[in-house]
Amino acid sequence: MTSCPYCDLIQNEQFPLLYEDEIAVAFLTPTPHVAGHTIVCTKKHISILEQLPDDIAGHLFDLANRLSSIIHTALNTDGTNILVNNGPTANQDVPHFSINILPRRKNDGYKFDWNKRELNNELMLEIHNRIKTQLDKNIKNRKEEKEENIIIANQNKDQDKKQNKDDEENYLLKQLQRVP
Amino acid sequence: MEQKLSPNHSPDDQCAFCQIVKGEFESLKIYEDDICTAILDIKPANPGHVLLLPKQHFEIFPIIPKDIVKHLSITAKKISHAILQSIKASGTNILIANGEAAGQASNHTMIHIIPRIENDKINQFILEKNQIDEEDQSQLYSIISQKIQEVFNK
Ligand SMILES: [Zn+2]
Ligand SMILES: [Zn+2]
Repeated sequence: MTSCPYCDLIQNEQFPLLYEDEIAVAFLTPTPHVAGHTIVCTKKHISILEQLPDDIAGHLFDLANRLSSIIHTALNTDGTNILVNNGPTANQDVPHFSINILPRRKNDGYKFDWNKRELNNELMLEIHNRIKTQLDKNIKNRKEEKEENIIIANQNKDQDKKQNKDDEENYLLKQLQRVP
Repeated sequence: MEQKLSPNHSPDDQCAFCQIVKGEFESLKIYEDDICTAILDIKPANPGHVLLLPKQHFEIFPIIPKDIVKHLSITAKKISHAILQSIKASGTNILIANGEAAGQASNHTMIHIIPRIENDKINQFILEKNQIDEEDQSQLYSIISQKIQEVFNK
C-alpha cells in the first residue's frame, strides 16, 4: 500500500500517534479541518465501512466515542462531532476507512446545516420500503448463513462422534480378539 | 462532559424521540430491536436519510455504555450497506453531534446516516485543511496525548 497516506503515517516511526492498540490507531491529522481534528482508523488498510468486520467496527466507534470525550475535556471545547465520510461521493478524501473526531467551539463558523428536504409521502414510503426490504433480506441471509455454519459444525461433531464410536468399536474388537 | 453539554435534562415523557421509540408518535421505522430503533428523517438531507436511535434516552453519545455503542455502530454499518444496495446512493455520511456547538438539535442522542448521490450539492462534509500552525499542532498533541495517557493508564 504505497499510495495510502494513512498507511504511510502509521508505518512512519517518527510520526507521533495519540493512541495505539492491536487493531486501531488514533492521531492528529496533518490536514486538520479544526484544531484537534483526530483520526481513528484500523492499522490494516481497509477502504470503506462495508469491508470492516462487525467486531472491528464496534471497536473503532467505541474508541472514537471515548477519545471524543477525552479530547473535549483536554481542549475544553464546546462539543464534538464524530463523522465518517464513507466513499468518495460522501467526501472521503483518503482511501483508508476512518472516523473523524472534530472538536467544536461555539461560533467556529462550521455548520452541518444541510438543506432539509420535503419529500412527498409516496416517495418517502417507496424509499422506506426499499431500504427496509433490503435490510430484512440481509439480516435473514446472515442468520441463515450462521445457522448453516452451526449445522455444518454440528455435522462435523456428529462425524467426530461417529469416528470416536468406530474407534471404540475397533478397540473393543481388538480387545475381544485378544481374549483367548 | 455530560454536565457541560446537557444542562437541561428532559424527562423521557417529554422527548419526541422517546415517544417515537415507544410507538406513541408516528414514524417510518426501517429497523428495530431490543436496543435501538431506526427511522427515516422526515426532513432529510437526501432521500433515505436515517436516524438511528438508542431506545434508552441518552442525552449525548459519550455517556452510552460500551456494549450499546458497539451494537449501534454495527447496526449503522448494516443500515449504510442496505442503503447503498437499495436506493440511488454511492456513499454515506455517518454523523454524531455532541452539544449544541456541534449542531446537536435534540437531546436524545442519535446517529445520522445520510445517503450521498454524485453532485448532490451537499458540501458540509468536505473536511478541507484549515490553517493551524505547526507549533499549535505539537502543543495540541501534548495536551491531548497527556489526557489520553491519564485516562487509559488509570
Ligand atoms: Zn491505508
Ligand atoms: Zn428520548
